[in-house]
Amino acid sequence: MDNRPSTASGRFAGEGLPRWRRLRSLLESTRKKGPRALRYEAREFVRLYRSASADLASARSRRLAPDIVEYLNALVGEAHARIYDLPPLKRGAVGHWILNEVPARVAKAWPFVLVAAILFLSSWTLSFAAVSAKPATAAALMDRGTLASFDKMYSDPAFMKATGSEAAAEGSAAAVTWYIRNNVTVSFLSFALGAFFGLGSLVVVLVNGLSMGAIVGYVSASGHGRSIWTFMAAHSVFELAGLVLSAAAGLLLGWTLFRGGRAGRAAALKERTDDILALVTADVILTVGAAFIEGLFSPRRIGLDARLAVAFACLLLELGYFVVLPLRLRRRSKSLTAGGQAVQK
Amino acid sequence: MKRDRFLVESPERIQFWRESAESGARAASFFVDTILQGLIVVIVVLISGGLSAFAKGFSQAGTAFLIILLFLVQWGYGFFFEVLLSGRSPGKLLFRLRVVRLDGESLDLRSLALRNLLRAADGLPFMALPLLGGFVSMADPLSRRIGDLVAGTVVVKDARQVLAEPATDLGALAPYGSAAIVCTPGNSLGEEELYIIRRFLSSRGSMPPPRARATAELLAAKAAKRLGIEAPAAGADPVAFLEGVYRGQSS
Repeated sequence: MDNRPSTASGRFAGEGLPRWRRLRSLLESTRKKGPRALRYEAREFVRLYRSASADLASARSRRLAPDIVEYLNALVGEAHARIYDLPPLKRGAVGHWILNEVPARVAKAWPFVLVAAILFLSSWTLSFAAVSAKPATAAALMDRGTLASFDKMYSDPAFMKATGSEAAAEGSAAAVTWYIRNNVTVSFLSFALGAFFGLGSLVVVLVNGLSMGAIVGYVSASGHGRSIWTFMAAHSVFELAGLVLSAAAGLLLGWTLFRGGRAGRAAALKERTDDILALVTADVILTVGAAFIEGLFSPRRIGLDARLAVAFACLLLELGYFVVLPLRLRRRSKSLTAGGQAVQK
Repeated sequence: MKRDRFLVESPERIQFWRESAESGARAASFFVDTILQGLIVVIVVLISGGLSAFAKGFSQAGTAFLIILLFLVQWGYGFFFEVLLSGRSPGKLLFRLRVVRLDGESLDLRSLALRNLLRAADGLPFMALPLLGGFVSMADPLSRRIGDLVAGTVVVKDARQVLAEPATDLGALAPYGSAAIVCTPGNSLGEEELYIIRRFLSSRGSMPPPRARATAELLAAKAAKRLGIEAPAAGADPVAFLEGVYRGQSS
């Protein structure tokens, strides 16, 4: 008999090690060369992964030595991470997401969009009315410095003239990206604060409504209403819709967290993740669109009519994307299921 | 089991444990990522500064480009690298961490998108100093920040860092070559106890002698009690005794 003593753990490890080493070397090669390294050994890899996990289960239930259990646990964990890696993006996935999923899911989440819109519009109207009636109220909602700068901006003939000049048009590429960076960051914040059971988004949308209403009210009360309305007309349709959608995404997130579900919060969230992300995607699309209009079109010397035409076109695009497209998609999927039933009969 | 371990059950019902990353390691990897983000911006600014010296009319487009770059680096860095390196940003790669899903299913774009968008909530009061996320992650047993909690993800230690091969048996036992101490069949040591003795016997050479002796005495007393035999006498060598026990328990 061999002089070297062996325990049950030792025999188990001696028997299994060749397989485990092979699995480990396959793991190493995928780590170096990526998943393509397993083109010919995929079946072997999966077989080894299964057998290692069976070994792990049996080592644990037989209470074998901790070094074996740890080793197998780590090996199975590594192999699992490799097998359950991020799947490659399907061709056309982005297009499908933007043209089918986003409009359908935003339309599905209409109650949240409606609540966010009502919150924004009512707070806007409230502060606009209050400030128009009594301009001093604006000081309670915004700091004086900001108000003064708006006042100066819209009363300054140089500003309104500059918006029409070539110089402003030249600077507009930078303006576009500045608006994108600024406004998308604000809308990400407005969405993410929804993680606090929706309260953060609620606060952001109310504060936005109040301060925007106050600014417009203040500038109007100082007699430059026409300038600010003219400047805002074209880009505000996209910008405000984006703001409302980001708040709606935050409210949906907060509501899902708050309400939970029969299978728990995590499961409820998993179910609505795509709806939330669709709202955020739509918000980004609108906010970027608004930034282009605000940076390239709004500063030019263009009459109110043309601006209103752009605003109207934006509104039509929004209606088409969020109302008409989802309705058509639904009709198509209904007729598809009906067709399926007919075939089954 | 330690508290920061959690059981993963894959869709095909395979169960194993994963160890979540400590808040400290996560903070360190965040620090590295932040520095890298800063470096990317600085390098691009330097290059575009150099270009604008040559190309007239570059400045407007250049400014636009820089602003959009700043935005993309701030918001896209985490998502981009976690998609590219399957759940690892460069900082995580350095500290051998990776993002996985708590439910054991494949990592997916939506979880990564959600956890990275919620950096805005974790990043209170400032994105560069995410105190809120830090506090939440310290309070959570699995060190998850708000983004992880919402997206159902956990940052775990890469299992590769604990892959030390198990012993098949205790190689050469023996300066002693002691005889097996055979006990009544009913009394036996479990595999975990044998593992402890094996660990001691194979590593005692690297321990300071007094400490090795004290440990050997302790283990010998415990093993003797467990097996219902007499512990080695005060003058006898406890290491030889342990070796005999190990030999007797193995076959």
